[in-house]
Amino acid sequence: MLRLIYGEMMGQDVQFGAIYALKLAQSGQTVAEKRAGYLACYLLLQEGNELNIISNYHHVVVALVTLCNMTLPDVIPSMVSHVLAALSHTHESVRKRALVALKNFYTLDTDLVFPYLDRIKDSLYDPEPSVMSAALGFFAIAVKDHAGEMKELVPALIRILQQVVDGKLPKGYLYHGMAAPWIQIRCLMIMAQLGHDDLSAAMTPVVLRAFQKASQGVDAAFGVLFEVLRTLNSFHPSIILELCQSKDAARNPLLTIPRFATSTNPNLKYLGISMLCQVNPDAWSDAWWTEDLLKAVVEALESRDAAIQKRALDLLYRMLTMENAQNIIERLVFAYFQEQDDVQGSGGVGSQQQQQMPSSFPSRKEKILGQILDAAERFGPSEEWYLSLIFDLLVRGGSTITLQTTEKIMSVIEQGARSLGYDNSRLPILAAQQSMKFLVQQDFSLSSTSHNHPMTSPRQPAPAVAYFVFWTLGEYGDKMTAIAEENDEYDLSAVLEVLARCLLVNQDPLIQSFVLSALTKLSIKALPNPIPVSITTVVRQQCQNRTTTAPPAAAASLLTVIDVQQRAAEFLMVADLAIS
Amino acid sequence: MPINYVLLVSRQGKTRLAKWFTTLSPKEKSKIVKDVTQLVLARRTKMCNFLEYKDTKVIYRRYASLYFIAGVGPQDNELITLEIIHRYVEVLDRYFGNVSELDLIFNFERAYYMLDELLIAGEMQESSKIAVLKAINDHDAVEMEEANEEKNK
Repeated sequence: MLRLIYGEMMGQDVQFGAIYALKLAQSGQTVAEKRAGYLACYLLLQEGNELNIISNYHHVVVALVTLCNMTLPDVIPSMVSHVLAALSHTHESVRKRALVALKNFYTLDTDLVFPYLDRIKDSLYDPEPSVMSAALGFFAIAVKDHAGEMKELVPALIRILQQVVDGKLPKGYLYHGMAAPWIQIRCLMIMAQLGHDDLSAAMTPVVLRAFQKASQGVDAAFGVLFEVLRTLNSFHPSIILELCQSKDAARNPLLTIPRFATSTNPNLKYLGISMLCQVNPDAWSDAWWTEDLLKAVVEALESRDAAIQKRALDLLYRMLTMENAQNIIERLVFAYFQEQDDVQGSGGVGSQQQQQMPSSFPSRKEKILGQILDAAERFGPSEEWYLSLIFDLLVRGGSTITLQTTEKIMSVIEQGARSLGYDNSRLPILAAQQSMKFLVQQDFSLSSTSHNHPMTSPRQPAPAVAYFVFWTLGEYGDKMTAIAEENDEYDLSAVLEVLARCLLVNQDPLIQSFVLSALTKLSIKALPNPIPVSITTVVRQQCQNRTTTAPPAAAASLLTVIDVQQRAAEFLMVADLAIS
Repeated sequence: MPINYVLLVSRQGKTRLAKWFTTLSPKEKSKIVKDVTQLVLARRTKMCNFLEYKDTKVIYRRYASLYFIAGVGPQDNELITLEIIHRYVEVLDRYFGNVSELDLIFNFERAYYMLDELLIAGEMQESSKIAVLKAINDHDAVEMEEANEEKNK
C-alpha cells in the first residue's frame, strides 16, 4: 500500500488502488495498517469518486479526518447531524476535525450548514485553542458571503484576539516568541471582512494592540504585521485616515513600512512593498511617506527579482495621481514591452507550451495592459498624450492587443474619459485627425507596419490598428474641420479620398471591410451631397475584383470576403441614393 | 484561503513528497509540479521566497538540499505560509533528530503523518509543536505495542 502512495506521489494515476486502500482502512488489523489505509484513502479518493459513497459512513464512526477532505455534495444532508453531534465530543481532536468537516460541507452546500451557525459559534469559546482555531477557520469562509449576518461575531473575535495577544494561550502555541500567529491572522482576516462599516471603531484598539506586540517580533510577526495593515485598510476609511496622521509609531502602523521596504533582506523588501500595496490611496501623506521609501520603491522597480518587481509595479498602479500619471504609465508601458520579450526570449519550450495552453486567466501582460489603459483613461494629462499612447500600443503592442482591446478604447473615446485632463468633446475629433495623419505616414498601407519592423512583429500586423483608425474616421471623419488649422486638408471629401486609396492599397479582406464600413458611415453623413464618382468606381472595381479572382483557399477568409462584398454593396446603395 | 498543495523537491528536481488539498486531475497535478519545480529551481539565493505562478502564489524555502514548496491563493498571507513551512521542518527535525533528505525518502509515510497533524484540508490546525509531536509519538507507541504483541504470539 505504501508503494501505491509512492506511485501517486510520483504523478502516476493509481485510481485502481483506491478500493484496496478502502479495504485496508476498514479491515486493518493493526493501527499501522489502518493508518496506511487512511492515508491512501485520503490521497486517492478525491471528490467525485463514487467510492466515496461507500466509505463515508465508516468515516463518521471511525475517523473524521478523511471526511474533511472528500465528500460528494449528495451525501452531506445525511452527514450534517452526525458531524454536529461530534462537535460536543469529549476529545478535542474530534471536535476540531468536525469543524473542519463542517467547513468543507459549508463550501459544498452552504444552505445545509447555515441553520446551525449558532451551534458552531459556541465552538469559538472552546477551552482548547486548536478547536477555537478550527472554528475561526470555519467562520473565515462563512463570513465571506454573509458578513452582514455575522456582526454578532465581533465581540467574540475581539476577546479571542485580546487573549492571544496577551499571551493567555499555553506555551506550545508560542512560535518564535510570537503568540499563536496563525490564530491572530485568522481573527484579523475575519475582522477585515466584518469591518466595512460602523464596527471598525470597536475592533481598532485590539488590532492596534496586536500590531504593537507584533512589531517587536520576528518571522511570523511579519506575517501578522502585514495582516494588521491589510485589516486596518479594509476597515472604514476614516480609521486609517486618522491613524496615518499620527507621529507616534505605536499608533501609526504605516510608520513600520520603511523598515521593511528599505531592508536588504529580499523577503522583507517584498513584504514592505506588499504592505504599501495595501495602503488606501487616500491615506498617502507626508506624515509617514519619506524620501527613503521612494528610493526603496524605485530600487524595487529595478530589482532583478521578478517577484519584487511585479509587486512594485502593482504599487505604482495604486499610487496613480494626475501629477505622476505620465511617469508611471511610461514605466508600465516599459514593463509591458519587457514582458513580451521575456516570453520570446525563453525560446522554444516556453512559447510552445504557451500555445498549447490557451489560458483562461489573464496573463501578466494582459494585466499590465489593462492597468495602462485604465490609468491613461483616468489620469492622463491631455488628449494628444492619450492618443499617442494608444497609437503606440496599437502599432507595437503585438498579439496581446486584440479587437476587444480596441473596442474598449473606442468606448472610451465615444463616452468620454474620466481624467480631468481631457476635453472629451475634442478627444474623438482629435482621434480622427491622428488617424488621418497615421494613414498618410504609413502611405495608406496598413500591412506595411510589418515591413518597418520585420524583427519585432514577424506575424501579420495586428488588425487592431486598422480597426481603430477606420472606426474613428467613420465616426468622426466629418467633424474634423471643427478644429483643424488647415481646413481644406481635412474636409469630408478628403477623408473619402484617403479611404478610397486605402481600399486600393490594402488587399486584406478584413482591413477592406473596416474601410468600407467607414466609407458607408461617412457617405450617409454626407447624404444630400453626392459622393464623388471616383470613389464609387474604386469600390465597384474592388468589388468586381473579388468576384473574378479566385477566392482564397481558407474557408475563414472566404467568409470575410463575402463580408467585404456585402459591405461594398451597401455602400453602393447609399451612393446611388445620393445621386437620385 | 487554504494551502493548495505542499511539495518537497530535491535540488535535482525529484519530488520527495506531494500533498494536494485541492481536487485536480493527475495531468494538471504533474503540470503544476513540473512548472513550479522549474520556477523554484531557477531562483537565486539572493531573491525572495515568493513568486507568482499563473494566478496563484508559490512560497518556497530551501533547507539543505530540499526545497519545501507551498502553493496558495492570491489573497493569502505569504509570510505566514513561509512560517508554516518552517514549523513543519521544525517538527520533522525534532522527530527525526536533525532531519535529512534520506530520512524523508525512507520514512516518507511519517512525513505525511506529520503534515496531516499540522494541516487539515490545507489549513494550519495545530500550530503547537508539542501537540503535534505528542500525537505522532502516541501513534507510534501504539504501533510498537501491536508489533510486539504480534511477535510474542
